[in-house]
Amino acid sequence: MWPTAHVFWDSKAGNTSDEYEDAYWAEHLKDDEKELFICAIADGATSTSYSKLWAQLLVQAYCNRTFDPHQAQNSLTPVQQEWRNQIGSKPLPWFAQEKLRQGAFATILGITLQSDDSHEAGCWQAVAIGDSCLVQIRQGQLLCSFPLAQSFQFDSSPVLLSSNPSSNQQIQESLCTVEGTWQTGDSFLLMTDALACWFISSMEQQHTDHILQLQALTSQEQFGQLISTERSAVDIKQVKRLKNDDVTLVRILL
Amino acid sequence: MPYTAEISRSNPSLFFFLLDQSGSMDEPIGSGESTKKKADELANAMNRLLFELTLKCAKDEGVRDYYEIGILGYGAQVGSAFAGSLAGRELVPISELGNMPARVEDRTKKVSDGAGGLVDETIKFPIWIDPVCNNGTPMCKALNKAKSILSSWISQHPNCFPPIVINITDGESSDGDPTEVARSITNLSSSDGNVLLFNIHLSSDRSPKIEFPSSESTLPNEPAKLLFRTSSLLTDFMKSEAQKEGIPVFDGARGFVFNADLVALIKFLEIGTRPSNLR
Repeated sequence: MWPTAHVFWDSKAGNTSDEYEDAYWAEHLKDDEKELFICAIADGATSTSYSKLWAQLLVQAYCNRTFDPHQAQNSLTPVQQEWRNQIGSKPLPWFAQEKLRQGAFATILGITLQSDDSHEAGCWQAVAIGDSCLVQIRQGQLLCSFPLAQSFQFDSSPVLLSSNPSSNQQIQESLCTVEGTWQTGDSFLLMTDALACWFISSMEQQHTDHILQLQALTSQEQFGQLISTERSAVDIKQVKRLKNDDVTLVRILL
Repeated sequence: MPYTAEISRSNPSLFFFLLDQSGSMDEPIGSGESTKKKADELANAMNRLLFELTLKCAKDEGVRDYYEIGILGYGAQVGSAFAGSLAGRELVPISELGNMPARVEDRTKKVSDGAGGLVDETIKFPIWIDPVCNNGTPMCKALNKAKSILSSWISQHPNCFPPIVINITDGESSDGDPTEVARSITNLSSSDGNVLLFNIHLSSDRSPKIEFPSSESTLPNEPAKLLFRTSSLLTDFMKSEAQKEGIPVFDGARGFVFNADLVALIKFLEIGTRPSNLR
């Protein structure tokens, strides 16, 4: 198994690329016993500070397997410590102190793929907290959507992982898990919420051509054009088809 | 659809506050056991609102100018109510507001200890507004002044999320019935909808607090009913966010609270994802 992964991203319109607060990471681990491909995306919350750094630390910790979402509170401690270390201790104005006290928040969506002996198929497991989503595609058809499967499930206040331990007390209740099997030719699309909501809405309206569109992307420029077009377009209720937000797509081809 | 314009640095919105600074604000608020003066409660509510609003716009690099802020006091005179170095200013970008409170005090707040208990934590609490109580209640004059400022601001920001006007008062205007001028304010509009006028009624009445009622029949006195009638309907988004916060709101709910504060309102403003576990 040697999946190919491509990343496409765009910052919220009106923001600079420095202000992009999503994160992505992937690791390919191989030892005598098994071969794993691990990939994660995270979406730092706009309303919290230092959420880009938090999202980056989360995806890295997930992929290097130091963060285990099944034991989120305990395994997050070193990640939370690292977040504080990187911010440092310089004097801050009152609002920055208060934001720091509240902590940063982000989603996490991680997938681990393992191949069987044939290397032509295998199993996968995924975990999610928040509204970043993955879909599995086989022969141009949507096989599954996780953790959200319907567009009405997206709202602007999901439960997220925090750098502040006191905000994670009920986090285990918000952990979603799923597992399945894959075969050569399948693809997985990992998307942060605005893009995931757009994609799932498209599927609800039978616009399956969007699957092909995302699978055919070859460059950041193409992705940027698609995002720009969809942000300007409105649906039948005159609501923007794609919400203006940071967008990230990780496409894994098997 | 109205009230869906994106609030951004290139398309900011406006918060405009009207503060009753009349002599009657020297009286205690609410239940007979309370010795808290209405003027103190107003200053406290106002500073908390500005605190939450600034935090809403603060990011790693500083405060982003999603809003401009205006604060008009009405009592002995009608004019800017900012204390400290912002005194006399009509409208202030929120980044400047965040960086220039009159002073910053230490306050104690109960926070979770992460293990099911609560601990005291000292937080920085900025002060922009001090309690003032003098003379009559020229609410109509203040609303007229606000209308003029809002009208000019909207002409410069024609596609903004409509300005939100918050009037905090003990409810009894001394210069006439404010209904007409209030209506002329809510008739102002950007391409995204009409100006929203909300009222906070700080009363000496002993009745319990009432938040976002949909009928005036539950309100205890005539000044409250008048303020309710001048208040705008909550937007659909605000209603759904209020329900998420556990505040029961029904069709026809208005931006009016009685002996309560409107801090929850700040949470209803959509700038981006707000984690539901952020408290």
